[in-house]
Amino acid sequence: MAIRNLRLNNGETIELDEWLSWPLFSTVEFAKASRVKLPSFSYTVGQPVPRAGLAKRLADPSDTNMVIAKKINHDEAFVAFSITYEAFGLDNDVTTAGPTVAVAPLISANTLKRMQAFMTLSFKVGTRQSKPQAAAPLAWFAQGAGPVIAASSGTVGGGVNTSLSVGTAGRPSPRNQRRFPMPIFVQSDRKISVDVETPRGPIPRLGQDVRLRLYLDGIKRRPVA
Amino acid sequence: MAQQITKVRQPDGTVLRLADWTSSDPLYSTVEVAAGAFTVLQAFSYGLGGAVPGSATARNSDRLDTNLRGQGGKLPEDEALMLHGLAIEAFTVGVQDGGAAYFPVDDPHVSVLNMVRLQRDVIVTTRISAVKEYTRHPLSWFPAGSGVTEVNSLGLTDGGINGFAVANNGGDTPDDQRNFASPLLVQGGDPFTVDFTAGPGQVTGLDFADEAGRIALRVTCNGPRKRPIA
Repeated sequence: MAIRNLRLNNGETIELDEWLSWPLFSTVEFAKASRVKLPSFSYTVGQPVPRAGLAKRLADPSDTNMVIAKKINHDEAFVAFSITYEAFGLDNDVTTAGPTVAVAPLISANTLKRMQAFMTLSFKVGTRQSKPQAAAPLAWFAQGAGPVIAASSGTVGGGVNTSLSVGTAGRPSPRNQRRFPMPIFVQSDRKISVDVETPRGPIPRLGQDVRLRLYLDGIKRRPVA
Repeated sequence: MAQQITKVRQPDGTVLRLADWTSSDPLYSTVEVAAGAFTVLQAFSYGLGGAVPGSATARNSDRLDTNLRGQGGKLPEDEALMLHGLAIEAFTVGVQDGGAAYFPVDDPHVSVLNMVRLQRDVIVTTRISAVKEYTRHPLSWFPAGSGVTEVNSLGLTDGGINGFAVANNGGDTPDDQRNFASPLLVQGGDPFTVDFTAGPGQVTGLDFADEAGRIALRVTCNGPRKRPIA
């Protein structure tokens, strides 16, 4: 049960809406040789995941927790504090010399670095809004969730695959998320999108097909009962 | 005989019941995830001594699994919980990665591959009073906040031939734990579970050397808990 009222020292009671910590998340996917221009937060479970260069796939609950496509539900509102993400490999990253360096779902350091260099995120609120509320190259948005990895030296994969390379955007931690200096308020029924784009076309020498799960970290208002 | 004071009757007749709020005795519960399909594994659905959901032999829980009193599925009547966040640890039960031998690790470590598979596919749903959901987010959103900061040397496994790669569910310090933007109150007697499901119906690719292999996920409730004082 959520906290619904606060009793002050003077006896006054303040009634609260049910605002609760409820980050929104949504996934997009793209092939290594594809130009990317994908709207996340544009679908619900059971609808197609936005994909570039890949066959159609329907979303399951690990792809999104949106309850209505493309917007905040009519009886809800949302305040965004931060954008963060996780990236997963859909296939292996194999070097030109042969060895596999990242086995799916791992993302190699090279893959992530190239995404950071050539990919942008734009958080837009409102119908046909061209002015983003937050926009920057992917590198600006650090990773707040993911594995913290430790590896020994030595070969892996029985000596067949001789290398391991894994990348995360900073040490994954809530403290690593870049927070908006001013939170972004999204009113009920308002359209939202985080557009994932590669403005120069396909990312050069990207070694893996990628699943990118984006989070809008924040709180949402919903009916108390 | 000395006796604990548990309540105070005031001159106006009202009775104050004393309680013990502590953050040093956090509530926790464990489920175990196997390879293959599953529907839901519910932490806090059993009390100390009850069967651990998902375990290979439906083993009875001990204090490493849970400290929830009673039958489970709800908070005891004489307790309350201010839930500031969830911290989820992962441990391998049995031997993993025996078949693929890509990143052989010693249990209870979790290989980087299995950890990222879990983070990708597992959804954590917190239910209070069995009416509403209070979280519906991926496992990775709830870092362990505990674990090992590792320093490893060359070729630790297979007679010095192979290396290994392990991973933690997020950071390994208390500072890495994620707090809710607003805490949740669980009243005594409220139905309360933390449900683990897999978006695709299973954790795709989860790899163990034998059928008894599991990943134990232990979820700990951050925040003060009210307990009876006697």
